[in-house]
Amino acid sequence: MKQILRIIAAFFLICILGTVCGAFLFILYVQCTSYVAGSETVVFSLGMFEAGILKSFPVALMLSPLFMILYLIRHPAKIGGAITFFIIQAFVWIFLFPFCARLLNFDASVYFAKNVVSTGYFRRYGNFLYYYSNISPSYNRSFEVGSGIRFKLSDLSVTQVKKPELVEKEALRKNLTDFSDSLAEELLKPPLLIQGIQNLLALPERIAQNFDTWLNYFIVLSMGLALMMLFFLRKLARWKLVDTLFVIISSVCILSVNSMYFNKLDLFAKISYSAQEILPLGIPLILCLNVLFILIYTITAVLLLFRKKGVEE
Amino acid sequence: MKRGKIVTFICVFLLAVSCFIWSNIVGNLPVLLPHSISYYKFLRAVKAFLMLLPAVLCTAFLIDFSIYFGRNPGEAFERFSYEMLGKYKAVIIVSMIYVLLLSLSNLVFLPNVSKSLAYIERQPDNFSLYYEMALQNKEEGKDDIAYRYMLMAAQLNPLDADIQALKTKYEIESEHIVKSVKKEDYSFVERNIPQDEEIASPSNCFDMVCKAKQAFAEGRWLDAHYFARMAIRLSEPKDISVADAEKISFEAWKKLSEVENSGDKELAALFEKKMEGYNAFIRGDYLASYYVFNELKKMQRTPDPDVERYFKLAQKNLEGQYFFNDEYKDMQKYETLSNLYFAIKHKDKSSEVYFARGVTNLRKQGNLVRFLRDFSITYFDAKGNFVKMISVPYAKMYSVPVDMISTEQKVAYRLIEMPDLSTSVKFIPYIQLASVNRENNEGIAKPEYDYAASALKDKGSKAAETNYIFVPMSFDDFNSIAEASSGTENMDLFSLLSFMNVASKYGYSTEVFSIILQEKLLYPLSLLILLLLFANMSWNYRIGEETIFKFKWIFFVPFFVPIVYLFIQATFYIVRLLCLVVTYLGGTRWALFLAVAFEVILFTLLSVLFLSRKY
Repeated sequence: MKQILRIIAAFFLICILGTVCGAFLFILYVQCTSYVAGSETVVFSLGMFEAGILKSFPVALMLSPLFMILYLIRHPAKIGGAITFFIIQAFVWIFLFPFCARLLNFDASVYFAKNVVSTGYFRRYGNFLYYYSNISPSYNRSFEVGSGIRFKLSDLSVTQVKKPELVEKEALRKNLTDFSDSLAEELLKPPLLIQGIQNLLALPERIAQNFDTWLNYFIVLSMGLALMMLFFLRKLARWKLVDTLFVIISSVCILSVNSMYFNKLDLFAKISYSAQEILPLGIPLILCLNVLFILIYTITAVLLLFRKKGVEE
Repeated sequence: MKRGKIVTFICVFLLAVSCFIWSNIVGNLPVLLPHSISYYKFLRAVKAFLMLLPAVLCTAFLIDFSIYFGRNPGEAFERFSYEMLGKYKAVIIVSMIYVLLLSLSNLVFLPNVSKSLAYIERQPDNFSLYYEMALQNKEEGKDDIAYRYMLMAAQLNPLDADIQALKTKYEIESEHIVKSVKKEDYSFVERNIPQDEEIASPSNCFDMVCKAKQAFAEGRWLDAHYFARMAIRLSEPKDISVADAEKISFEAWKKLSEVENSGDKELAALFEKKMEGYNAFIRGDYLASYYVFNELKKMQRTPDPDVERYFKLAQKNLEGQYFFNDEYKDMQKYETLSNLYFAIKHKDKSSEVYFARGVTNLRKQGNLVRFLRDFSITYFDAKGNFVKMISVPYAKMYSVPVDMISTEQKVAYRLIEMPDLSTSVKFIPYIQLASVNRENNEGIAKPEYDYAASALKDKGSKAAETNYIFVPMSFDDFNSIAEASSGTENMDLFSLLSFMNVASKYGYSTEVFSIILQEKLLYPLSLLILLLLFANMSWNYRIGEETIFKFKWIFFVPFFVPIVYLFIQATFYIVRLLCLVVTYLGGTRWALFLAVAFEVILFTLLSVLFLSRKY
């Protein structure tokens, strides 16, 4: 009984801690994207914290199987603990996660200031270095134009070498990322690996945006089941550290594959289109992959059971 | 822990080997000049090694302690036991060593290797640019310049036989005499500012008359005339010696005319030439005078004191206005910086934007002289409208003491508006914009002035064109900017600190420098926190006491590295975000304090967590 209570407590702790940490990171990120050189305004509001919590709760739910399994590796549980784990996770994936993902999906882009530029700073856009000395509204006041000077920094030819070019009332150069100032973008743009993590963390959001069909509901369910099945990997090796490695890598694999599907990645769409020819009618590749994951882990579980018996005999 | 050392060593060794194999076999190279390829490969391997080192060492740390704790769990049956305190000490000691190693590699070695790599990558660009410039100048018939560019190209690419052959061909065609660089006397370099004569010659009218008298007595008619002229110029209305000076001047000129008409044709020709130079000198046309005396100097067999003297005087005055174009002849090869830029914002909101595509330091003079390639200054008025632009292919810059600049110049170049001019600023940058040839009169390479349409109507602007400028900033700040332009991340701590506070004054973001500085200062502490977290993990997931270590587990080690790498990357990204936000909250002054406080709290929490572990 004590064991069951501890597992339930662990679940709540993971959700709460995960949500609070997520909200904290969300605020950090939003603050950084709204940075504009020369203007010192801290934009912090309770609404932002709220948005952070609402954004990160589904993420915490999504990662809860991983962290619960890591907990179970550290504190091995008997059959009662295992059943508790599966009941909690079944509840999460059948009801809580789909519900939260849909409910908590909203547009947080209001918190990201877009493309504000101040005068008197050097900024790099691609090949060019810009210095805006004046920013004014355009003639119809629908957007802003900047005047100043620009220097070409690379790919120079002989004729371009000497003089800088004047910029007269051109539309401001735009950033492609969340960051409003290219100075911040240059420094804080997430490296490729971090972008990968960001994509994984944005998975609940993507799921919520595509939550229109029963099929997608089943895909989410299968993903949840695959994540749950990692439970059986927790005693694969006798060294706990190696077990954690297995569990983490497998989780990342499952989440990445699903994130590719929900992000509607071109490459993944192409692969699944060509895969349709060998698959039975109407079943999408992603569902098959999730089922494959589930099968692999189930087989592993069965094999482990036999091995254990062999050792005992 | 002996096994731990072996495991760590093997991991690092394997990493080093795989980096070199990757760099030599697999990696696709950027466009490089042939002679630098092997060096580039070596540096690239070192860079990869240094970048992956934290992940590999942390993995080794994790595995090591996991085994160590598993084999020696001790009697930690309760939370906060002495057993765990002992283990905590061991963890901290090992962590400290790792932190020291990794900080060195990340803060010292990695920036240097990156700098070298960037330099090698830039070489082909520079090479093709020089090569093109050489061909273009050749077409335009400028053999001399074409040779200089080809020389630079050849120096960058010494293994290309075609280029070397072209260089030799151009050299012969340009009849360029390659001279060994003379050891020049640069002691006067700092005094090259154009000055009023009064400042240049501290003596007064009376002294000059005395000198003139002496020269007259010794039969040096030219000197006598020169000193007398000087005396007249220096005289004040009430001076009694003016009459004397005028008399000597007249007498000396009479004597000079006598020599001219003495009948000796050779002497007369020489004298005529001398007078031509002298007259130009008196007129203030130092350039013409310089070339005349230079020619005379080359012609004469025995040194003529007049020629020597006036050549030196003309050269000295000339260098106040121009610099010699052979000074920057093979400079581009030694360019230490590219794309140097900064803005100067005045109180009335008008601004000046400075840009140089390349900068060369002349180290012989203790970094005092710099050559700026493709240099331009753009002026904007208070509303941000374009006023004028000065551009020049080469400019020469050095620092001058503020005391030596006259008040008029201080007003003209807006130095007077600098708030700390009279207190902390001792030296400011002085830039010469026009250059001349040292040997022959080939004209002056003058700066090009472009005006906005509105400014053209103003006739005064044209008259204000000069061949030199003073930059209203302290020379120390200029040095910091020079360092910043070679990559913010590669700056050392001291220049980051000094530049951070003035950055926004020069068009740079203060916050960016603050973040980089904090990140560098926080690196050891952040790493320590990370290692403590790993120590916690090692305890939690330690190997069983009785479990036999299986050989096949070794093969899982490489799979740990990417996960740990990802984890480290994510951590330092979050630290970076945190640094910006604390800069927001506390300003640059309190930011570091806040960030350190945050990390110390985290460190304490993790320490408590570790100490509370039990069996």
